[in-house]
Amino acid sequence: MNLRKITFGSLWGLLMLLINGCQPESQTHTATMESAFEWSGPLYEGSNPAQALIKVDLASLLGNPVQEGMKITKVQLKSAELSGDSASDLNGIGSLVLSIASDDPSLTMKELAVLNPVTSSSGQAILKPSPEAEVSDFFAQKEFYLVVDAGLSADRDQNLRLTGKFQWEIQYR
Amino acid sequence: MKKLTLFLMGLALCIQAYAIMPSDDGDRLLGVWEPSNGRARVKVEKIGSKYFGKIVWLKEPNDPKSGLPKTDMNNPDANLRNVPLKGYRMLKDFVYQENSQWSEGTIYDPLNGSTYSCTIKMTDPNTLDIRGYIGVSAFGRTDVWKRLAVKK
Amino acid sequence: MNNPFKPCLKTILLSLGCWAIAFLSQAQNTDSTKQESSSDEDFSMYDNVGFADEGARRYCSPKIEGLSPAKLISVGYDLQAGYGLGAGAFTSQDKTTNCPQDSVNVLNSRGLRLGFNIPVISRTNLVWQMGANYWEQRYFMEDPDGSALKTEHPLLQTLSENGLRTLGVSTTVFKPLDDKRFLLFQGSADLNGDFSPLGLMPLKYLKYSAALVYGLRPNEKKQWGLGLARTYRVGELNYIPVFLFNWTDPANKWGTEILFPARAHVRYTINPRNMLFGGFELEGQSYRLWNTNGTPAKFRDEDLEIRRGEIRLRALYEFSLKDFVWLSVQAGYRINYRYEVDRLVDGQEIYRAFGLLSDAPYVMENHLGNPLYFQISLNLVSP
Repeated sequence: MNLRKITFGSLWGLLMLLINGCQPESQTHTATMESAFEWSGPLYEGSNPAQALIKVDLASLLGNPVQEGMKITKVQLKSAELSGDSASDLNGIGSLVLSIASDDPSLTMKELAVLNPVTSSSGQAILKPSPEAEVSDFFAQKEFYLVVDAGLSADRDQNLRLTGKFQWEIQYR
Repeated sequence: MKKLTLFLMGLALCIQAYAIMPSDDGDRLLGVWEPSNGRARVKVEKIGSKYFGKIVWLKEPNDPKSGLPKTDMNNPDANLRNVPLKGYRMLKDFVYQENSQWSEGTIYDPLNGSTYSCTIKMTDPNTLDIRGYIGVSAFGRTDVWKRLAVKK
Repeated sequence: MNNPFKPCLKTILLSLGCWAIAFLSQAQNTDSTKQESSSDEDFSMYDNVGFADEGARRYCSPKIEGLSPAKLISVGYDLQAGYGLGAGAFTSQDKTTNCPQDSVNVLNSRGLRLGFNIPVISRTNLVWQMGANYWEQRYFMEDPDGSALKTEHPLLQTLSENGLRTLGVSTTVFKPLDDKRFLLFQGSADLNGDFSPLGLMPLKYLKYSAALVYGLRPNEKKQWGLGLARTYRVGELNYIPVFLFNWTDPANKWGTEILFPARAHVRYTINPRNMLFGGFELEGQSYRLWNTNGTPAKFRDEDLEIRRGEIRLRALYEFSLKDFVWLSVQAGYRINYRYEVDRLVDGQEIYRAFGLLSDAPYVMENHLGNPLYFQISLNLVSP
């Protein structure tokens, strides 16, 4: 009886090895994306969202021609930087939260990165990404939204414009 | 004269009809709402085609220990515990169905970091039944939210 | 010849004109990036707002902040370590049978505990839940000298052969009167006895319990109330006052969950998914001696019920395994309060009111040791 179990177990293990071995190897690529976020004044104290619609273009993201059957298996945000046109643009902003959302009903919005409090005086805010946020499902869509919530500590009459630079680690095969 | 009167009446009716009809029935959810416990106020906004509700006011906005504005300290993801609660989207990803219902969304309880499946039903223009549940609707709880307006 | 359609054509053109004007006057907005707050209303501070519906009212919630989560489904197992059990002498109603006292070692007593509690109505102005539960306790005994059980005592025979079971339904209604005051009602009907899992007793042996509390909820972290209960928790029917006090400290670390005298616990919250408790719970019921399996013939006709009450001092640890699945682990000391056997009088139980109304003796006075116990349960908790 034991011998039978060992035999079947070994065959099963070998089969799994063969199946996995035949899969194409997973590759990793770091893609950089830029996007603008605009808030039209007057803005009020508290959280103010701005969003950007991102069209997914795998060829430009991966820097390679897209081959048939290529599949993105994992995407994580590695870095997120928001900067204003001038050093004073971040004045009065207490917190910044970056989230990802989609019109697809099966995808729920996820927070990706946060900076709280915002202490930068250089006009650049480097958000801290969450390593647990995995967003390959969003990159499988044709488009998704990036949403930046700027938490203002006081009312603000002027418009606000921040440029976001995001680095994504994309695993695919 | 009679014809002119009829014309003007018809024009007024048409304009009025378009004025009161929302461009999207789902947009009736937009606005500021208060949960039954009165401890927060939530503003519903639209991102893309979905509806999200973010906390815009807290009865106790600051952490009693630190005195600083409350953050999402019970988030299961430790990297996101610094997200300010004021501004946090506790209602997410609602899609308008019909018959004054929004579904496919979730509701987040910042007190314990739990996320529940959720449906919203508008029982009248100023009242929502927000039902958070686990798995099936029977294992859930309904909270009644009321619409807020600026006091005159 | 007059064109019969001419007046209709004018009407149609007029209508089309109205529609065109109305259409053009509508502000079309397809920009998905628009912030949705109305530009006419400044919600910047969100302080100066009131209900849009002027008739709306706030009602207090049944929960307070920091309370342990309510259990929707509970599957548990209770185990009590060894103790001595001395069954008192017993004389049959017709005086023909005299059974001397006998003692045994209970190696352990254990059994399944299932609970089910589902919200039926869950609204701000009314919360109604229905529940059901099944508890069993089986006794594993041996003779005091360590040899296999050889007792002739009918009580020990039925406990060893059949054990005790409770099958009950319950209802809880929370009715807030306004944003601070509320009424809480709990009621249950239980079938308790030595019946087999598949052989229920007649429903005429149901035992009814209830409690009604009038309470105040002055803030999010405190809730207290006073009421009256009809209960079997001390082993026999009694009407007693009850005191409810649920409280959480401002730091959300310490708290109490008290429904005295049924139970009282101090709670320490490590975090919202990990909680420690220390305190006690009063358990008890009246169990009909019904089963004829393993007991002398006509024992059922003696119309006997065990009046069982016990106090469980315990430490409890509840934590979330994943999301809404919680594990509860408790260990403690069970103190036997009462395990006497009573005979019904004309089918009615004797209401003693702690000796104030009657001091009729029990037909069997029994003695139980006090063991350590352990209980574990897997729970699906409520939002």
